[in-house]
This record gives sequence, structure tokens and C-alpha cells, in this order.
Amino acid sequence: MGLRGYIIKRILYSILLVFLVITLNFIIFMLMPGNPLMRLANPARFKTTEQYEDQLRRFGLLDPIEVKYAKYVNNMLTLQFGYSYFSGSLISNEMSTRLLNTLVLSISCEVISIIIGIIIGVIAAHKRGGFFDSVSVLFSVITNALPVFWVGMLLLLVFSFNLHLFPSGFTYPPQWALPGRWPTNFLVEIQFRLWHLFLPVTTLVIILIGSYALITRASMLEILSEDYLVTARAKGLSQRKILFKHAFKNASLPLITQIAIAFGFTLSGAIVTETVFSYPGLGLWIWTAIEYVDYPALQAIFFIIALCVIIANFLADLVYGMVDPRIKYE
Amino acid sequence: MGLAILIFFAIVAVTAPWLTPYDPLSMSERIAADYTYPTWFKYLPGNEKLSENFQPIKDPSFTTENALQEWTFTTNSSGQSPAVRYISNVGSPTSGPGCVSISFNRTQTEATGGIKALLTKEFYYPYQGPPKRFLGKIYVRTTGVEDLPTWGVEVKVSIEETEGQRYYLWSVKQGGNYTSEVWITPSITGTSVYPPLIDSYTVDRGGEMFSKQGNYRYGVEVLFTQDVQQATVNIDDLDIKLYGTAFGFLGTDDIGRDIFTQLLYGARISFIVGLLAAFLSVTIGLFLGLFSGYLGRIVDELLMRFTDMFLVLPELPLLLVLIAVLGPTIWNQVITIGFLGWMGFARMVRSQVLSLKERPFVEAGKALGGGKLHIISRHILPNVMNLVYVTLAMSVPYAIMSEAYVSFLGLYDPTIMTWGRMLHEALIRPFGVEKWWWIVPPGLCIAAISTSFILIGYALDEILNPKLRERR
Repeated sequence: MGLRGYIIKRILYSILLVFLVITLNFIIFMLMPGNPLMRLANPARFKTTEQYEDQLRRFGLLDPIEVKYAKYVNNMLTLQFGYSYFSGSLISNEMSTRLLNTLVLSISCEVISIIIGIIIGVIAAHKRGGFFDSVSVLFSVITNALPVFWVGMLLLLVFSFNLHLFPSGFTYPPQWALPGRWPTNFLVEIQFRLWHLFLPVTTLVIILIGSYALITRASMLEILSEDYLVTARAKGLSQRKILFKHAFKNASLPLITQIAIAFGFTLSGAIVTETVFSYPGLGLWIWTAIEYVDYPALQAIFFIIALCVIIANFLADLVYGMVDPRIKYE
Repeated sequence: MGLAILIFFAIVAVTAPWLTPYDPLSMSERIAADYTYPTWFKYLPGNEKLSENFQPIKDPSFTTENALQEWTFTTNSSGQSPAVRYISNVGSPTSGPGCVSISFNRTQTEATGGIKALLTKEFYYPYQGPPKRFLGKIYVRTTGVEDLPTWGVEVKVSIEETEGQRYYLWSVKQGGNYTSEVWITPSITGTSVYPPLIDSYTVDRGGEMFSKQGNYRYGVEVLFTQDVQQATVNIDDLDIKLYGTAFGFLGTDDIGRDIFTQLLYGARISFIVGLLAAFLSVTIGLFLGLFSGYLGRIVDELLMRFTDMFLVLPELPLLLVLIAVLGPTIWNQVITIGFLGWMGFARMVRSQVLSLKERPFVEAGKALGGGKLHIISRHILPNVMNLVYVTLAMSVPYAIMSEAYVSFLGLYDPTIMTWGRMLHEALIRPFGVEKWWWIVPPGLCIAAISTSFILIGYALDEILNPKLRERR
């Protein structure tokens, strides 16, 4: 089987996974106890039973289970997601901005921490056993064991509440939301948004750097003893060229898998970080959805996150297949 | 190193009730003011004005006759009346029998007009700064004045600084149209959690009192008007508690619960959830891995696809959704965390089994007629046990961390205080994040306990799998 067959197989597998996730999501919420719709369809709040049933029908609660399932699958695949039990409005309206915010946060963290992690890992492997090496390994082990939200809270405490250097939350200054206050200059908007993004990104980066640094270091250590690097050194190439061009290229394969695996972790981390910094992404939404027992919103958020992870995994498989010619497409 | 931290936390978890006298969640009795500083802050420069809890009255509910001795009784009357004495068989509805009675009989006294009687306790307030809050308490019952045309007895609770400044905290008139003959107590509207009290937060100028070191007098002033011929005032539960601005090792949270206590009890939950969930996930992973690896073919294929599916699912969101639906109890947390953590281990066991089942001793077992179950349990299982121990140690921090995340996001068991919940509450309460003695310790504990399990995992790995030693 060639590359094309491999890709098709991965696509089919991913689609299967999407359906499994959708079904699992459906089953979980079918099993839930109680009437979650007390807020919007409390029988006591309706004058007639017809009105009450109308409301139930609007949320599709009177349908038989197979119709419910079909409607639900349709909702998920068309990314409409139905109505929120809390606000009664369409979930998809809110989804796009929330998803965008979360993706901005997690992808920028991912990129920054990969770059810093690789540099630390390469240098640590190069100076194996030295001071920098031991400090960076220690740092990685410790940050791996820290709860993300706690790091976020500490940063919030120090840089926002004590030093007043960074805002404590949101993606832009809250007063912009007032009529006529939105900045006309695009650069100013970007600048403020980055300023608000700084603390959440730093939080996640602190947590993420460690694992990338450790993996880079481990795979570099294996490569560094190879003969072709001795040759490169004998040719008189500069140290930097040897490390980053010759050695790292071959050491980067395990990193690609790690990035895909870590993307799910990054998303989870983003969820928690968002709640600390009141950053209006999917995570903060989960928090409010849990608080208001808003099951359709939870369902939608879970589906979207699972979808992101599945796509990330698929991309990683793809990149892996293209980068490493030795891989057998089984 | 890892073991030392672990043993420390284990001891803390087991002995928590002996290390701290308070209940981590109790709301029934206030132990301190809200948002107090840790006590040791007093020794830092600039914090000399911090005060601690102070309870000047030893036996406020008058359980024995000696209780009266700490009080001073004065009156402006020149006769034998009013007089104070101890009554052992009557008491307020909350504290049982035993109270003070101030009885007045106009025939025994030469003075005319209104007569005052004072029952006070003088005490030395040792702190330079005011308390965060103080709560006073009193029960009063007057008999013999209900037939008067208007009120005949007024009872006032007061605090007097020795230099003369006097504050009235609460007063009640009795007789005539006013209620008498029953126990009366100050009540604060809206705070039904605590027993009826005089609260410095609601009293006029409550914050000014006890502003410096010195002697203070706390007590009641009873006024008998000129219409009163004969009356008895019973007083019980006469108390004042000063809640300082510093309390305990780590201060208190926004509703006056001891943070140190919460921290100690949190260790228990982390151990319970961590160990049980890790045990659960390792057991599931072990069984699936064993059967998948040994039986092979269709079973293997099915189980491994199943595992793959679980591996792709984002764990934290799934965990949140499951717990939100099942209900946030600690057992649901254990079960869901346990059921979502077995995938990696199942794969590890499977690959180990795949290589083990080709070994000669398994073949020998088969040749001797051993059944599948027998071979799995007697020949293969003992060979993967090393993996089990190591993974067990490595899964505990994962479970502890998951519990912390879930609790932090608000899905905690309302009856239990955990480290994650502490951080959750610190985040949502106003000014909570600014109290570093509240948010730093739980995070440190989570990190320390996780690291210790990871270190133990590494150590076990090296001891049990000697082959690895060369690689490291």
C-alpha cells in the first residue's frame, strides 16, 4: 500500500472515530438522570399543558429515541448543535468565536513551547551532564507535575494583582464592549489582544516546555553518538549546524508523535487555563455549562474538542507518513 | 526522596483529625473571622497590629456558681436591692440550666426614680490592632413587669474602654407592650447559619472598638424605671468572642474556615482517589492487555480498536462530561478517572504478553495440558507483575491530578474538601486569588505528592527491570 492508500485508510478511520464519539456522546447524555430542562421548561411556569409541550418539542424532548438520535447526529454533523438549555439560543452562534479563541490560545502555546522546548532539549543533549542539562531536566520534571491552573493562578497573583503588568482576564479590555469604544486602529486592537493573551499563553507554555525538552533531549542523545555526526564534525562544520541541521532532523520524528498526543493535553490545559483567566473560549464555556447544567452545550463542546483532537491526530499521522520514508503503510 | 515525601503525606492524611481540632467544612460554629492572615505573619515587620482570637469570658453560659465570680456587680442604689445571685435550675433555651438573676424590690431600697444595675467583666485586650470581627451574645428574660402601662426594664449590652468611651451594642426594653416573660436574644436578619448574635459588622461603629491594647469592660446595664416595684431579670449566655485578624498556620478562607485544616484533610482525599483510581485503571488495563495479547486474533483486534478509540478521546472533557452527568460524588470521580486511564497500560501489557507467549516455558505449560486461564494466571501474569507495580506508582499522580482538575472546574463532592476545590473556591471568591497563603499550599501539595509517586515509579522501574539500568 502506498502513501495514498495510507491516507485513505487514516481518513476512513478518523471518520469512524467521529461517529463513535458522536454516539458515545449521545449515550452519555441519554443516561443522565433528572430533568435538566427545569429552567426553560418548568411545568409550573406554563399556563397550559400545550405551551409546556410546545417548549419540550422545541428542544426535541418528546421525540422517540431513534428520531432524537437522527436529529442529534444531524445537528453535530452540520455543526448546528441545537439550542442551549440555559439561554435558549442556538449553540452554533457562540461556538465559532469560542472555538477561535481556544484555538488561538492553544496553537500559539503549542508553537511557542515546541520552539523553546526543542532549543532547550538540543542544548541540554549537547552539554550532557552539565549544569544547563541538569537544571533543564529538573525544571521539566517539576513543571510536569504542576497543575496548570495553579501556575495560572500564581501568575495572576504576581503579574496581575501585585505588579499590575497584565490584565487579569478576557481577550480585550471590557470597556471596548460599550458602544463606540471599539478601537478603530487595527494595530491597537492586535496589541491589546496580545497583551491579554500573554498570561494564559505563558501559563501553558511553562507546563508544555518540559515534555518537549525531555523528548528532544532523549532522541538527540541517541542520535548524537551516530557515526555521520562524527563525519560532520570532521568536515569542520559549525557546532550549531551539526546540532540543528544534521542531528535534529533525524531526532525530530518522536517529537511529531508527541505533538499530536500533546495536542489533546494542550486543549485540556487550555480549558483549565481559560477558567483561571476568564478567557472566553471553550473551557470557560464548559465551566458555565456545568454550572447551569446546560447539557446540549456540554455535548457540543465535547464533540468539537474531540473533533479537534481527531483532526490533529490525523494530521500527525499524515506528516509522519510524509516525513519518514522508512514508515511502512500497514 | 520520593518515599520520604510520600510517607510524610501518608502520615498527614491518616493523622489529620489529631493534627487539627477543626472540621474542614463545618459551618455550625464560627472558629475565626473571614480572610484572616496566618498567625506567623505577626512576626514579620509591619504586621505588629495583627490580633488573634480572644475569648475573655470563661464560662459564658453560667454552668456553675463560680461563673459569677468573674463578673463585677455595681449599682447606683444604696439599699440591698437590686441584688445579683446565681440560679442553677433556670437557663436559656440553648445552654441548659444555670443563669444569673438580678432581682429588684423597691421596698428594700432607699433610692427613688430609675435604678441602674451593672454587671460587667473587666479584661485586658492584649493586641495592638482591632479584631477583624467580634460577636457578642446574650439571653435576657424579665419577669414581673408585664402588667405595667409601659416598659419597665431596659437591658443594654455595652463595651467600655477604661478611659471612658462607652459603646452600646444592643438594647431591649421589656414590660408593658414590649415582650417579657420569655427569653429574648439579639438576632441578625439574614444570617440564620449562626446562632443569634451581636455582630460587630452590623453594630454601629463596630470597627472602632478594641482599637488598641488596654482594659475593657464588657457587660450589661439593667435599668429599672420608677414604675417598677418588683422585677427579676435573668441573664444567660453573656459572652463576647473577639475574632482576630490572624488565625492558625495558614489563616482562613472567605467564610472563616481554617485553611490549614482543609489542606490536611485534602491529603486524605488525594490518597483515596489517587490509589483507588490507579488501582482500578491498572486492573482494567492488566486484564484487557492479558486477554488481548494471549488470545490474539479477533479478540485482540476488537480490544485494540476499542483501546485506540479511548486513546483518541480527549480525557479531561470526557471526564468532565461524565462526572457532570453522573453527579459529582467522590466515588464517581474515582470510577470515571479509573475507567479513563487504562489504555496505555493495556497496550504495554499486550506487547509484553505477545513476546512472553512465544517463550519456551509457556509452550511447556501448553504441552503439559494447561488451559488458557491457567497459563495466563500462572505463567504470564507473574511475568508482567513488574510492569504492574511500576504503572501503579505512575498512574497515581495522573489520578490525583485528574481529581484536582475536575474539582477545580467545580465538579467536586460538596461534602468533601479537596485541594482542587480549595483552588476553585479561591478563584471564584472575591479577592481569593490575592491571598497567596490560600492558593500556594494546595498547589505545592499536589505537585509534591505527584512528584513523589513519579520518583517512586522511576525507582521501582530501576529495581524491578534491571535491564533498563544500562540504558539510563
